[in-house]
Amino acid sequence: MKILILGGFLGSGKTSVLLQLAQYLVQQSSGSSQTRVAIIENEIGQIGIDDKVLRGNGYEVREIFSGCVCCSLNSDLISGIQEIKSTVDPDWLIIEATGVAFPDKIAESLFTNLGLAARVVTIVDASRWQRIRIPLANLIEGQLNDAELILINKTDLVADLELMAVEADLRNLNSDAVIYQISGIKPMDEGLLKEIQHG
Amino acid sequence: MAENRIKIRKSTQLSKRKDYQIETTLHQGAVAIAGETVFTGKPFNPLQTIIQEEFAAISRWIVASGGIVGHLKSFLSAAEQQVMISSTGEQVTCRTSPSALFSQGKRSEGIQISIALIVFNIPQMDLEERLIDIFDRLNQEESEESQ
Repeated sequence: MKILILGGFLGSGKTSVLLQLAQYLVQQSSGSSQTRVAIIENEIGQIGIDDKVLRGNGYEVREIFSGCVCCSLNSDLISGIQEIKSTVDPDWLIIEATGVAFPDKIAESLFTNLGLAARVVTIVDASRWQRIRIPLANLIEGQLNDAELILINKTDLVADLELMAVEADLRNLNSDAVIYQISGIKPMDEGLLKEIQHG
Repeated sequence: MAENRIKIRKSTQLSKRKDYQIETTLHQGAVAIAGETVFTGKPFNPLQTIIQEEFAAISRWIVASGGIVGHLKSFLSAAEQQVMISSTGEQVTCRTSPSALFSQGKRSEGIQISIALIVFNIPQMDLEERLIDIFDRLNQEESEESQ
């Protein structure tokens, strides 16, 4: 079971990326060897919205609400993954973190508690980066820790110069990550989807 | 006198929190308030428009109050259609799609509405009041029969 953690600030586009990625993973397979994808949806509020969107697109979703799996609900995540592994045993498990979670802490917990390695993909909203960069620095900088891939989203909403500044800032904060630019107004490039799939 | 008014206001707010199943979670400095309800006999599009208008107004109010919009999001689901309404501050976007229930041949009674407001640097009670106001306005929308 390969595990992918999708992190990033509130409203950065995690659910949209998840939908495209899940669809791609399933479409890549065919016939009897169809790739099975399980989704864990973590939302900070007690009532979920994103899980409804995912279900509305035909996916079964395991939801963990009212807190973050990176801290207060960590035990729920561990037991949820154990249950998914023992019942569904999917090829892929995608965990959509809350917009206030630290994805590296989730990855660390999975490794410590279950011996499972996970890839972290963090999505950044280019149009809001400058606005939240200082007031929420601790949170948004922390969300970039250990990210193998950083997807700069909503690139259609910012000017080229601003986009270059955002990318430079991100490279300073995480020099190891591969950075891609994406936009909600067009589908993600197949090369990027392959990069997420295969690393 | 002022104290009495506050008590009454809180009592009303508590009652409405229950009606609309409003729950609040605090995490990493964010206030996340969410509620949901089902309306029967009301038209879909006007309810969607109300939420769009309210999200735009709340975004302006949050910024004017020195807060930061995290994510305002809502999901409306009816027998034949569903829509995700979302705002991170400047724009309100809507994504409409055919209802999964409809495509699965299942029936849905009424319009299920879920709303979540995730915000920084705004008092919890003030935000709860804004969410209650949205549900109240949706509740006051005329039913299809009376139109």
